Amino acid sequence: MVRTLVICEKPDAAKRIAESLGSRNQVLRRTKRGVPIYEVVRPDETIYVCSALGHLYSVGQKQGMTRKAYPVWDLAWKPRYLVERDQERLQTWIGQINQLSQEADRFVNACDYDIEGSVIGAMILKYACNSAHRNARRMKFSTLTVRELQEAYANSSAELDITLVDAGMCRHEVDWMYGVNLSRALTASALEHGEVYSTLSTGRVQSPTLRFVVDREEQINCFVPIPYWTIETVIKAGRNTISAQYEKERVVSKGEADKVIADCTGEPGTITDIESHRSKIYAPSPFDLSTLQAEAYRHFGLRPSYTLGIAERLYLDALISYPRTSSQKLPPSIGYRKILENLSTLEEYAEKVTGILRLPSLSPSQGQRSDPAHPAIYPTGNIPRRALQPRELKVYDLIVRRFVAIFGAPAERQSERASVSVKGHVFYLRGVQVLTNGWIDLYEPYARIEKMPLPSLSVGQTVEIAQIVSTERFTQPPPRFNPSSLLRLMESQNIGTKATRANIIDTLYDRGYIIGERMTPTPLALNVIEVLRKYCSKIIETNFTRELEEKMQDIESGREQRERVLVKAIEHLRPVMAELEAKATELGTELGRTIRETRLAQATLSVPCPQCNSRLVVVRSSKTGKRFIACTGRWKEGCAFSLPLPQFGGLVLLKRFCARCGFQLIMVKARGRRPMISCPRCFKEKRDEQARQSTQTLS
Amino acid sequence: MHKTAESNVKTAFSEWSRSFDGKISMQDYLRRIVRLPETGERAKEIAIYLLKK
Repeated sequence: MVRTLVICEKPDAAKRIAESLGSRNQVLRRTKRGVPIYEVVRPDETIYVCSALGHLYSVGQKQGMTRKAYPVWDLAWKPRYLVERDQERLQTWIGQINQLSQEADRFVNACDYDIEGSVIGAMILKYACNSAHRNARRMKFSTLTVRELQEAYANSSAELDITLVDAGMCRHEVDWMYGVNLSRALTASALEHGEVYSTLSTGRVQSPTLRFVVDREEQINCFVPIPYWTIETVIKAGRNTISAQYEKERVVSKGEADKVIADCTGEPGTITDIESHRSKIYAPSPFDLSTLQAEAYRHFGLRPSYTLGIAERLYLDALISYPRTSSQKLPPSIGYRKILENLSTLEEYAEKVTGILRLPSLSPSQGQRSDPAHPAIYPTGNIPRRALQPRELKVYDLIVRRFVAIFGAPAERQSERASVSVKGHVFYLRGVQVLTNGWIDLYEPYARIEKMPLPSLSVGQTVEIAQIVSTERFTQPPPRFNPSSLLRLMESQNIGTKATRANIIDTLYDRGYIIGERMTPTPLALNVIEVLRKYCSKIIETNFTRELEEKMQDIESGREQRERVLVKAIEHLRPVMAELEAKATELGTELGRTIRETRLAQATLSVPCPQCNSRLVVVRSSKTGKRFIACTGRWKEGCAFSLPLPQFGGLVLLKRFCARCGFQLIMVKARGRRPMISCPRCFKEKRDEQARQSTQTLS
Repeated sequence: MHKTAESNVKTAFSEWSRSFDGKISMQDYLRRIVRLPETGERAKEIAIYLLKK
């Protein structure tokens, strides 16, 4: 009997794959040292289904080097528990897979069908399964539905997707080499020449991305508004009063604006022309990952990484197709009608889906982008077996309604414009009529057209200017990025991948480089980018990163070799490292100063001491190691004012103030807990009050 | 960054001057941009510096 080992990416996927490959009484679940393994006993074959926990192997430096040494050019793929902290349980995981592999004589990589999935599976097969990658098979699927998994298993390709594996390995290796060398060089320079220790994180994609945010902040900081005037007019036509637009949207001088007002005030107008124009608004394309992320941000304010996390959970529940896709196309092979029929059993979609199902043929709108591995994101038609969390439900609803909307007819609208002439000046009355709602009805509440029909008017009709005023306005600075707009910029600049961009943005938040939903770079980010621009601008340029992305796409399509791209990356990085080495003194000194200034700014409160008016700072006791707020007037004035602080988590001084006492608020962020916002002064007063009361009770 | 801000402050004056048909002085212009919320922090610093000069 053949014994097959199927490697999956996550435990949930392993469970679903095992349940798809055998009937209920054929699937046996056992747990060995905390690792779930599924055994599917078929008449002709036994299938062992096990899973990874994401990457089990990662890039690390070869043995014999310290964690601070640089430059590092020799790398090796190692078990992740040897490379990263807190990953010890992966040792058991790898051990169990290794034991299973010894019993198997056929191997299948069933990780997600994309670059990361291909690398995860290939590395496990190579290192944990005694080089089984050489003759392993590959399952390719876009949904975790029973039908597709059974087909993918039966038609698995005879060999692994080597080009995808190579492209993925190359990305990991290049990113590791850049991240480790640059971060270590900056950290070491700051320590040696700036006499301050701080882990300065930088990377191949991270630094150019941070530069986008810093550049935008600089544009905002240097912005000077220019005045212009708008003419706001209300026209009375018969019984109707309608807002009108002046022929020029912006009048650039005050004199001209004043002249328009003087010319038109109290004067009658004549309708000289009425135009109408019919246009069609076609249904949107199906979701690829970035449009889903943008739409989820627009409607629900969800960060791109959060949307991706939710989409992955929905995929693991077999409710939607694989979300990490660039495709905006849906092939007929997914079975449009069957999916819609299944969705029609859900009460909230029944009415709209039934309407679509009555159409003689189903042809969805398709977008421009395509992805060789996966179609666009679509609902599988499976009915949720568990109650979805509120945010999961929102994203699922968005995906379903989008899927239904792509089958809708175009919406049709009629725009109307009447021109009113007043002493040589022209004003426009505009209206919009919706002739057919088409797909917009299906996509509600995520799309709608404003309806504003014009009243009945005729050419030659005399109208009255009921009100006319000019308003001084100013040009606006460019807006700050939000996670969605930054992701779109990264995509248009072709840096990072659909799978990594959202995480890179999260890293910028985690490293303390940016804050807020409207991204504001911290002083540390401004200074680090300024120093890098001055001493080593190559690190923050997008050109090379973009070029490397293209090379990696070439590896994927078989037009380039991994080794050649690695050599090219090293050739680019070597002079950068030499430049950093040559300028280490200046670079380190400036970075050191920057870090000290940033730390001081982060530790200084913006409210003065209520007792002596000196500065308040966050300090740590050398005796107890506890942090607290202290007054800098202690040495000069002898002020003993102090306030206690929470001793757990990261501390952030907010630019918000207590509504009760006006003191500066603090926020404490700890892993696995909600951020806690508190007023240290009110806390102390409350604590002192409680202590007084308990003393009185005792006495 | 202050260099860019200085250049922007000086360039924008000609546009302000055109907007007010040449009837605005440099001092008035600087005073106004300092008060506007749209003006960037660096540009404000330059404007304040030029006003004091």
